[in-house]
Amino acid sequence: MIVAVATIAGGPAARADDAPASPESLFQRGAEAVQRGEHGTAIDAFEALADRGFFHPDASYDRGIAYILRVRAGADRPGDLGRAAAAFEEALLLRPSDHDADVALDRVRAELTRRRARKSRSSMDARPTLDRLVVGLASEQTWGLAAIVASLLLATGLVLRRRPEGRAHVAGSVLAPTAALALLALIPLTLGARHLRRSARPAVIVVDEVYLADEEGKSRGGDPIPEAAAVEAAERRGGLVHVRWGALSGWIPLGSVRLIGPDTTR
Amino acid sequence: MKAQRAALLLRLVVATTTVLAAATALPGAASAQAGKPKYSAKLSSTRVEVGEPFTYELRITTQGGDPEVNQIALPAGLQKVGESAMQGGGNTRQTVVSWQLMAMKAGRFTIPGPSISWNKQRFAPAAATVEVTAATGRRSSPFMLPGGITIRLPSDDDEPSEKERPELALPSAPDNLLFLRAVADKKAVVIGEQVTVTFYAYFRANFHPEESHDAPFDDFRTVSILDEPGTQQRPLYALAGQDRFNVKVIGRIAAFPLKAGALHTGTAKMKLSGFRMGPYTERESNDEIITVTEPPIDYRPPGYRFGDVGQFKLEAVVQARRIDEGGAVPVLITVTGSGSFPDSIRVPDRTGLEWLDPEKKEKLTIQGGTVTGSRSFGYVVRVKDTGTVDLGVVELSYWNPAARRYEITRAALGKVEVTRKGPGPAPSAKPAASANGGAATDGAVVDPFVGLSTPRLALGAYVAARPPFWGEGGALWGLLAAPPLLVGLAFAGSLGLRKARARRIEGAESKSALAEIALGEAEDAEASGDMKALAAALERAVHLAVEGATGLRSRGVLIADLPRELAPLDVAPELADDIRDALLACESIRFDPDGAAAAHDLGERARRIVRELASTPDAT
Repeated sequence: MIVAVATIAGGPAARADDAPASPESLFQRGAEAVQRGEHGTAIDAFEALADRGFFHPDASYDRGIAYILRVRAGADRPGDLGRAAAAFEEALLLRPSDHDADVALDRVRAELTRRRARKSRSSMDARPTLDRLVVGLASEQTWGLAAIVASLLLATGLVLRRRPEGRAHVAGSVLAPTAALALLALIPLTLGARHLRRSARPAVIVVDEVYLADEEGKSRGGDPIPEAAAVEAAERRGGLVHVRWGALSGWIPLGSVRLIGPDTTR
Repeated sequence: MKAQRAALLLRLVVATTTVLAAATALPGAASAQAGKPKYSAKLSSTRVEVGEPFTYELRITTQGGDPEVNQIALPAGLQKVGESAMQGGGNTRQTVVSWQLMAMKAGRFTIPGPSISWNKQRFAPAAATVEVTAATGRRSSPFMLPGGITIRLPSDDDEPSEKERPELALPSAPDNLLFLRAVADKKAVVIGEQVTVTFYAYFRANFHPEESHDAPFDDFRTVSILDEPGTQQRPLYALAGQDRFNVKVIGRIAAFPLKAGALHTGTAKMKLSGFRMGPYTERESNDEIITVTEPPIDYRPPGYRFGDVGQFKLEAVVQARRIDEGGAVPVLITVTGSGSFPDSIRVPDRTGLEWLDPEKKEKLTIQGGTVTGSRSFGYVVRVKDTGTVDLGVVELSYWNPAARRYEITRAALGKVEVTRKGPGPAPSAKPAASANGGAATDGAVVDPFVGLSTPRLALGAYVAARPPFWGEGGALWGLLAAPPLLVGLAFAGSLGLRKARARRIEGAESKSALAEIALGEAEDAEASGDMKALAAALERAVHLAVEGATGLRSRGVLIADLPRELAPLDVAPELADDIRDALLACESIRFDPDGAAAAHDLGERARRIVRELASTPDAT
């Protein structure tokens, strides 16, 4: 083995405003770093994008790819798969039809399940409660528009009922109560979706596992929330954040969760 | 010269207090000799470092008189940096003499006890031994523990004090003899930016620190930047209120905040004794609050870590340019400069390179009140690829507080040549792929993320979700309620219109209205001179008014019987009679139309009857 020694002097300090500032150039830098296999540089670039409040499904997807690249290189750090899952969840939040992000998220969660199984840890999956499930079937705008349509149909039914006996009267007699019932159902769904949007923010666990605690930070016991689990994050107090995972809720350290998507809470 | 003056001062103090004691002693007590004096000597520490102050304390208890203490004789290598003496008591006298010492070289030193003269006798405590080791540069207490020194008022031998320091002045003094004060040079910094906190003792009497507790500086990383606290400083003075205080710097800390928020330095405490303050008085400094924020988000470089603040330069040395397959390359990365040095360096992680944990070394000193020097990180990089491998560029982003901007220093590591050793798969061959991931049956590690390494190279079309078009206020309720509400309003309006129309029609066909029409016709007939028509119209008007007020169809009733018929219908008898008379008059005019004056009177009478009947509650 021939050993050659070379001394390299570092360059003079460069001003940071020489560095790329626009989100597009940061994204380009990160994507090119991923292509070169430089996962560290790629992660820095995409995290810098997120720090600046720039949300785009492609940037989120590439951020997840960068973390996976680090995992594949064997240089992964605790929580990397959780952060990858958070990135893909964010891509799906911004673009629900993103098939690639969906596949990637499944792969990440499957790998985490395998890892937990190898450590003889059970794989826990919390299903959302019925109310969350129903409200989550559509967006707030969809429920709201349906309620407005129901209101219009109710008005139409009331008008038709006033007509003399005949088809119009019959149609109104059927339409009005039906629309009234639909309105009674759709208004709470709309309000529920609005409340969820304003009070909670989607998040993903980015530590190996975390136990729910009370306001004082004392653990409540029970099953921990595993890495990459999707939760709803609401109120923050100091270093703790209140989360809901399925039917369970409690406080966890702020550093154990990654909030995804733009902040729509009030 | 200084030592002789000090010894003279010490003897003067002892002599003065002896005279005072003699003057106040009980009669005959001066001549009472209660045995030998009790004395003891001790060192504050038997193991110190070169340059570290420590104390030799001699305590003497005598009966009836004060002793004389000779000066301490120090072996070569030790020097005296201060001394103090206290005496007190009644018949039983207590004398405490302290010498503050410091070793100039390492070694084992024996300090002979100073001789004590009392009642024409000489005594001496046993010698004390101190072990002095080489200086390690450990942070010394800002209050000069162990041992400490006596802070004393400036004497003539001291260098002339500077002019009054107005920046140290205070509007009032918390204590008229001694107090402690902490002053931070900055009150608002970013995470990692140095705050220099100086601790001062403002005093107007000599004092000796006995015990001290440093300010906790929770949430800070601290470095003491005062070399020899309390010594070798030019005396300062400042005004506190109207009083002139001597000021000594007893500690100076470079504090680097670790997080954002309103961070407290905490208070430093000192227990001290002094001739004018008594034994074991405690003083506490003020608590400084530093507001710490994150550096600005604008232009923050990717990979910047909170806490990397200062001015730095990065250098890298790659110690091998040609290695064999599976070999490793030593890389030494050195950060030089000043400020809060990074604890780690972001190396150019990439596939095919494995950076092992570095070995850290540092040479840091204090220059001009800042932490200066270098910190090096010795890495070993395992190269998994073969051929020409580019190690990448090392970058360090930091916040320059002087320039108030981010800066980046870089060092390119260059390339290395990795020679393959013989045939066989390259070590960088990717692991076997599996559709479902997990371990392959042949035991090879399977990559669960195969096919997921392709990034998106451009930002595709995306429209950010907007909040619902009805906004956040009550517009949604308006949109929901409007259609049925409008329909309801329309129905209500339509119903109202119909009722109004019916009422209008009903009003037009009411008896009272018809009676008024008949009266109008009567007026026309009177004007045209048609008496018959007049009579007929007046008769019609009265009948209509009776029917409208009572419901009685008076046409079918004999006129003479009308009052009897109207009585049970709540018509006043006078009005009933009036109605009968008016109808009779109408009949007579019809048959005798020449009575014009009577016709006019009859018209007035008929109008009055119609009005009275129309004003009854049941009139229609």
